[in-house]
Amino acid sequence: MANHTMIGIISESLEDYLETILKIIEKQRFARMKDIADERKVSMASVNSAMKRLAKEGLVEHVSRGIVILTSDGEKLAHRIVRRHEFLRDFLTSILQVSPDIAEKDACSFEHSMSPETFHRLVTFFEFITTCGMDIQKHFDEYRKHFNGTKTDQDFCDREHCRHRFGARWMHARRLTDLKPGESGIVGRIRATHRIRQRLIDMGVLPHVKVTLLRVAPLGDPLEITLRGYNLSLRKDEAAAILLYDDSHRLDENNSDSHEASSHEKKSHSAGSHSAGSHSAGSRSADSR
Amino acid sequence: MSITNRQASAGPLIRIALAGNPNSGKSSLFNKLIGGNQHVGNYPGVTVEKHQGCIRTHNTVLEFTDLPGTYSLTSYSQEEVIARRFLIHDSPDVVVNVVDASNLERNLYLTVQLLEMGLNIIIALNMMDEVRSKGQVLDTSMLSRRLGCPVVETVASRGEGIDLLKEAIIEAAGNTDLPRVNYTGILGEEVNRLIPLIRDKTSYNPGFAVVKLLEDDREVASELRNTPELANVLDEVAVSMQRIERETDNSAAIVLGDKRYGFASGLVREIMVRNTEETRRNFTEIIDSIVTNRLIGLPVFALTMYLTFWITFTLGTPPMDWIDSGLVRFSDQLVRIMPDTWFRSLILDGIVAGVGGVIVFLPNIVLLFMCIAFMEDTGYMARIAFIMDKVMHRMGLHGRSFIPLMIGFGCTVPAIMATRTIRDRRGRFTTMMILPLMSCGARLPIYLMVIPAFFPKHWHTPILWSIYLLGVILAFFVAIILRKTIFKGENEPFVMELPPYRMPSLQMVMRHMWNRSWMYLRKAGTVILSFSIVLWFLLNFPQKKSYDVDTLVLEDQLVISDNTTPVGVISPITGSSAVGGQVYVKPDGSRILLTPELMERMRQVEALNYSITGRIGHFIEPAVRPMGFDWKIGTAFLGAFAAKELFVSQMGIILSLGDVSASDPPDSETSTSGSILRDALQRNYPDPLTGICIIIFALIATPCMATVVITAKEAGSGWWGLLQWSGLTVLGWLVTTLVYQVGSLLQG
Repeated sequence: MANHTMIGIISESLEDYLETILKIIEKQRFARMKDIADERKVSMASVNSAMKRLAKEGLVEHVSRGIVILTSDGEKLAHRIVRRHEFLRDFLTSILQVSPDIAEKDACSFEHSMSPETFHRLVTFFEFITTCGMDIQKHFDEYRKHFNGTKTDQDFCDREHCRHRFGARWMHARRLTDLKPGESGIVGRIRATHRIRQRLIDMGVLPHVKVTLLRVAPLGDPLEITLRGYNLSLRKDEAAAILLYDDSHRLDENNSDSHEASSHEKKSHSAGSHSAGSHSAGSRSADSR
Repeated sequence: MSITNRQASAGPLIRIALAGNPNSGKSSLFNKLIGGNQHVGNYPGVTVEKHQGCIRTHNTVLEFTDLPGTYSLTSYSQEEVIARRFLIHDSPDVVVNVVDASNLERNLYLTVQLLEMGLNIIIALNMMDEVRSKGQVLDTSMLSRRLGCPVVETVASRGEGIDLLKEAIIEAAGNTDLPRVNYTGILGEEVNRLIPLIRDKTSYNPGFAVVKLLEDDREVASELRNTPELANVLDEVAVSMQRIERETDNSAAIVLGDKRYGFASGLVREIMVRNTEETRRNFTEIIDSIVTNRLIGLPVFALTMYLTFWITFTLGTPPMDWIDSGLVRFSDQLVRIMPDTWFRSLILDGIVAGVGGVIVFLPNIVLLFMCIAFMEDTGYMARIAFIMDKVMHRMGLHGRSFIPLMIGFGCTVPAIMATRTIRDRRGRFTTMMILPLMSCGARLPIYLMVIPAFFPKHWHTPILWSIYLLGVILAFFVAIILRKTIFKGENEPFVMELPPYRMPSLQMVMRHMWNRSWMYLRKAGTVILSFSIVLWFLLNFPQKKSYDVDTLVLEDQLVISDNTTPVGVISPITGSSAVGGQVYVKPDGSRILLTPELMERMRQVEALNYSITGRIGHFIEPAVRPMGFDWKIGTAFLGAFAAKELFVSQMGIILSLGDVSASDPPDSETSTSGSILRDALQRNYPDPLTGICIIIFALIATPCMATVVITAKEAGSGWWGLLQWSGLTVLGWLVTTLVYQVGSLLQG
């Protein structure tokens, strides 16, 4: 994709007009203003003013009343716009496995708002993925295979030894840092580096534990929380790693951190797999919302 | 999870390790057990203190090692690594797990991990007084049954249960039936699957090793990776981890943590016969609502810091003066009985001065550590770290770095020692390196001499403040740089407990205080003393047999005047060497009239130039010139290394020559001669820029020898001391040169 300087110079709607004109011209060498109006489902007046503006930019020319053609600049720009649209659509379908109609709709909206830089990088990425080396292709095919568009709720990889957890549903979860002093939450997940996570676990920050934000230090950082009957202080960036269940998740207040324990206790003299099954099923249902 | 029992063995000498959470009263218990004859050393290769002690009882020798307090046995913090290594490699016969009964759940988490290691454990259920005063009742025998090991109730601060504990230890030493941990569920399955693969192939307890591998423990994993037979085990572990994650929707580390805590909280519910729904220690909450309050927290904090400072330095002054006058009296006696030889000078200016140099810090150190011990034991120290962490974190440091830095404004030496409270090794070292930039009290005489010599009165205070501020700003940036370069590394997680406030026993505080002070005397005292002697040597040798000034007098080139009226200004003309490199003639060419005092000073200058220090001073002159200094200032700074006060006296010696009018009898380096010195400074260095450069260099580049020595000792190697000294000198040179060159350019 060569020269991007023209893109972005005219408004979104004018770009759309150019696209439309190109589409019409590809079928019949010139465009009647009436056709443009029909295609875009707008009034003649709108088409009129749009053409005036495009003509001012030197992108179209009135050859006779009601008929316009693209200047060579206009044609170049129009082609670029169309290519951009198509590229985005293809990217969405082939790389991200988005379904075609959603891809079309989104491509239409992205193509105008995306800056040339982002677009350029997207293109480079696409080319890298699709043309560079065997290894990338292989991994990428794996990705495509396991994350195809149908399994939208899938949150971990099918692959044999893959342990990655794709916690997309935690993206909007409340964090410990979102609490106000006095507010409590139930720990859902810890998203942190190994070192911090281990430290949090050691101090008792585990899923289903109730934590309460007590106060913020005078200078704004760190925070003081209570859990399991004692007080812990941690920096905001450490606290941000603690994701909380949202309020719709109902857990008996009294049993918040003991529900795991009681099931442990009962099983302390029982055999393995049966209870493992019921235990994990229990946590599954607790997790889903 | 359940506990089953296994095998172990005993012996005639019983080696015992104490393990437990910080703030569980472990040190108290340790002290009560060994009755005070403690031996403090270091764990090999690190600068964490190792506390050990022995007692004899019931015809057995009990050797106790108090391990660092830990919340867990993962391998992230130095304390945990040390505790773990000791438990695995040093194989204690009995492990006493000190459990804070008022905080059972979290303390039992560690207990479970100790059980995972297959150790021979006794639980010391400590702080039972707090439990009782809260109205709670615990079923201790149930606890013992569930854990499969003996439990002894103790109140360490009062000494209750100590004898019972000793008996239990002796009994347990013969224990052959050790508890073991079993896991249920998918975790248990995978653990049982992996244990046979590891058994007998590693020195670790197989159950412990498996659990650690599942937790992704770096240390165990890397050790096993080096064993060829175990390579495939790691793959199997990966498979297990994946299966566990599938089943439970969480990583194996979390599942393990969950199981352990689950067990702990279940256990707590079982043994808590009566629980009063008391919200966390109201007393603590009340205090904290003031101390860490958003609005008044900082002023309260400033007040306590001021108090600490006051106790350390203001209260410490009378004892210091007392010691000082004692030394002075002693010196006077020596002067009286010994003839004036170099030997006497060695004793007085070398040894006595050196000893003085060591002891002078003692009152401050003692008081400081009393304050620190008090703050640590009450739990207040954690609040300080809590309040100041934001600022410290920006520098790449932990909130705990604040106290040492603050103390550094008084004196760097105790401040360096105070860095022991900083857990993170890299943070601690960084703090030690930047501490000298907190302008210490000893630099004040330099500022007070130099600033008035160069600047008008209303500039004095602003300049003084700016110097302190400059130090702080530099410290800030140097810390950041150090943390990005030499001491680069992941920031230690801040996650820190805020323990309930407790009244510490006076005995404990005193013991802490005494230990530190004694350690200082023993370790640093000897080195500082030797350094003092060496520096004395450098300053006084080689000695001149005859002085040029005397020779010139004999040759009639200089005349001694016997009246004390000023004979006019002497303008030094550099050229042929007459006295110390300078020829003194009056403008009209006639010879100079000298007073005896002036002659004495000229002799002093000659001696200085002749000495090693003086020669070095001349030698480095080209290096100090970019800073706007000459050999005089350079030499004076060399002396400042021994003690900052020497800068002032050295300058006095060198400069007083330039001023014949300064002929009122100089008795000692007191402030009367201070004004003389100031005048001399003014005359010799007309440019105030020189003054600024002097104080900047004095701020940055002059850590005293004691500081460097203490840093080396605390950091564990002489190289660190060297790094500190050279780093600061280079930084000082750079900044001063910059200031001087830019200043000169601006002056045009």
